[in-house]
Amino acid sequence: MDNDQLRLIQGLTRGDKQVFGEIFHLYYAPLCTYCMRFVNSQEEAEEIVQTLFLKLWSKHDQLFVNTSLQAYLYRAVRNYALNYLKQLKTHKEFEQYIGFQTKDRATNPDNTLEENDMQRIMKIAVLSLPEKRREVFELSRFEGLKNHEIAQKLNISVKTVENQMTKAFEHLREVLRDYLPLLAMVSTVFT
Amino acid sequence: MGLSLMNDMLFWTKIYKSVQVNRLTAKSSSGKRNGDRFVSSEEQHELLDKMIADLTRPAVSSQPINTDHAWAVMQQKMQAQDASKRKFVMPSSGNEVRLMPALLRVAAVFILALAAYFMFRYEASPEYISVAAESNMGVQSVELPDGSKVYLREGASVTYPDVFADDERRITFEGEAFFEITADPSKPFRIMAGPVGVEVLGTSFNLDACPGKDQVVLSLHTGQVLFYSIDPENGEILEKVMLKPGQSGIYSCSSGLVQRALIMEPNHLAWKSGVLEFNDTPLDEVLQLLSEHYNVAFRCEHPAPGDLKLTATFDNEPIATVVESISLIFGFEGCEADTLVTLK
Repeated sequence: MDNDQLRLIQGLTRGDKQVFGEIFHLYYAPLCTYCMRFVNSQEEAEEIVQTLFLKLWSKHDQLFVNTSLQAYLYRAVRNYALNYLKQLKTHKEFEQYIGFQTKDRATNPDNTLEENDMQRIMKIAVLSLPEKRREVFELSRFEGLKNHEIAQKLNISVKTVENQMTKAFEHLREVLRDYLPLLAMVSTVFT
Repeated sequence: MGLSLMNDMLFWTKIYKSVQVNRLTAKSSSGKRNGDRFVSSEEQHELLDKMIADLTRPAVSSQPINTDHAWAVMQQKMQAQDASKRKFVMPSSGNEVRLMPALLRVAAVFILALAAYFMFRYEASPEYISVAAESNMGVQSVELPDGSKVYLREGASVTYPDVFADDERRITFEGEAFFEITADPSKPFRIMAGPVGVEVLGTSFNLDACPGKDQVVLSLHTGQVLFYSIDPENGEILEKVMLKPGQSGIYSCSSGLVQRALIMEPNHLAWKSGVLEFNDTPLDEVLQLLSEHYNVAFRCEHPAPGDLKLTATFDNEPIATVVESISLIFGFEGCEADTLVTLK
């Protein structure tokens, strides 16, 4: 861990508002851009990152960062994004639970999904991949690295990278196959 | 969402049929015949991978990320957070959460109703009706002339004409209520709630515009609403946000800022459903919510209530049962005395 990262972490856990501001200005934009991989709009990404920083400030004295601050923040963004995506899903279930009815429902009967839902489901699937597999998938899909570049970056063999990519895609294809028949699009094509 | 694979019919026909067939027959790596279309396993993989790429595309940036603006917003939120923490029960100082006595609220509402009556008595044609939900009477529902429904929480009140105008449906409102507004594109529905205005087309949401609180919060369930702050001098719109289902609009009375939050507070409808749900929630937050919901003050003698996390659901339980459950879970001794509950 380099000295500057150490200084930032110490300042943060001390509750130094100046340092907190520094961290915010340093990481806010890149974290938002990163978060946009996992959600569907810039608004959502910014909201999630702001919530993260708010929590960071609120619990600054309970933080334990044993890797770099950067790694910690990126991991936190993934966790928050996953939580947010999952919560969106349960919101619909919650509405049904409170027996809430309205005359003005969107024209979408209960059992079909829309494109937004599919995006959410796939992004949850990506975020839920085992740590290493997700990392490999991300580097390939979002940063466009070639297999040998990924192998070098993560310090693993090319064979392992290929293996992980295959498994990742197999899993994602399976998720897709499960949901395809439910897509609203499909029901309009075939009825 | 622009052009995406979702709109490519040929793509859909191929992939959908192939997936259906492969499900019904045994899977094999060499592909299967399915009548007039033959889609090999490799081809199916290719199509699915195309979809995966399409669906996992990162969101597009609508405008450059403005860190300075975000920092300004951040500081507001940090202040609000610190303020709400201070308000809560601290074991060392021993002050309880004070709530405006129910009596005062009823009086205020009665005065509002009276004021509304006198204000509108001399207007031309429409007669204005004011309904206030009295204390201890539970949720009161009101049906408006267009069929819209308003479910008033205790202490809330709504004033509306017996016949709506030709170009709009306007009501004034104070307190907290759940709204179900019928759709009518020709007549926007407008709610005047003190410093905040809400314009809806057809939708349902919870609006918390209680005069004693320092935030006005709208939690949108379905439809779309425009949530905005009003200039008290000329009634013009100052700041506005358009909300989609699942989002909340928040107006801060102290700063005058209007904000959009992308989620709704999990227990915001507890007043209507009677259900309180906690998921790994810190105990200090739990007690705050219980305090507001049951109208009691809590004093907790644990040094760090924020460290204790509660996961539980209370479905229309009396306060005694809730206190008992919490005491059992955390090893407290709960002591109920009138409107004060002490946890040791």
